[in-house]
Amino acid sequence: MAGEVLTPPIEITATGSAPWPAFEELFHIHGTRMKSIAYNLLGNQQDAEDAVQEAFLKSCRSQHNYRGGAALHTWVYRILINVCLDEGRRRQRRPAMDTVVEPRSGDTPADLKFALRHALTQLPRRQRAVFLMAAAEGLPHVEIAAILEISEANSRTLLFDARRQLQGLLSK
Amino acid sequence: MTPDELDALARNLHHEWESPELLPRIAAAAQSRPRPHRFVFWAAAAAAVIALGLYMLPKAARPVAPVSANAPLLDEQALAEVEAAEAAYRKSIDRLARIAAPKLNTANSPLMLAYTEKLALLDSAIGALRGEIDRNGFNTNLRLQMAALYLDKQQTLEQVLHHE
Repeated sequence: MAGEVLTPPIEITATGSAPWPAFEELFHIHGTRMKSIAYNLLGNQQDAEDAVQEAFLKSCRSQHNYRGGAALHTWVYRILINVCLDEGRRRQRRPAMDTVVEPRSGDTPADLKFALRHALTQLPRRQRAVFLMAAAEGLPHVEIAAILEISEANSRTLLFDARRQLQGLLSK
Repeated sequence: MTPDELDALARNLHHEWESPELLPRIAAAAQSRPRPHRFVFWAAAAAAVIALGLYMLPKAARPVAPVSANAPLLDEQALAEVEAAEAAYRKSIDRLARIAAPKLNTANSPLMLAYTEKLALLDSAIGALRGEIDRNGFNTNLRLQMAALYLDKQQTLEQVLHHE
């Protein structure tokens, strides 16, 4: 999945707006991945679906803010990430434990996944978003950079830092 | 944990589930009336508050009033503020009009034709009022009338955009 081209850009009208069928197509192509990103940022399916819905609605309703230079899906991903990070900020939910669950030899894959989810909550939000998009969802850095409006080099750096921190948290 | 092990574990974070109701839910919500754009709202609110505030302050009034002898007047600074807010509001509405233009140009239902006609009337009224404001820019009542016309135009364009 890593490095794949996400999708051909969806056609935008001359006015810079996208008709509803374009959003519908976008949902069919990216909906599953968007839900997964939101799930990993928010922690449950219901909140993830709500975030995806909000991202699509915000995109639809503020098309005048859409800059034609970016692909439509990039823009909707960006809104989704912001929705999820805003929601996370609003909740201010942090794990009760100060340290994450550390995997031991013989831990099951489910335990390791649980530990990784906890470790992710320790990362700065942007690092967490980059790690999830790159390592969990396989988005290429060029897409992540466009989504977060950062350089590709910055995206790579954030991923490197995230990996290093996660390894530290999980490898004691 | 090695980097490869971490990457393999990270790929397992991808989580899929069926949610057949989500797209219909989004479509239904998208078709419902949206809240006005925040910038437009605040631009309109700013223009209204400034105009109303000046209306309530007799000391801001000047004795020259070609349109109405009793109409309240703006001072120079307030005029500049109102014009800036109005220009920003007008720009937002023009952007909205550009987005709605393809729909208006291609639709031929009676309702859409009525919208087109109403928008033409509003543009005509805005043009006429603009002429009066150019001659009497300090008159608060004219500014309020203009704000009302712009608001009507904004709402009409939003109705066009959300009409099936």
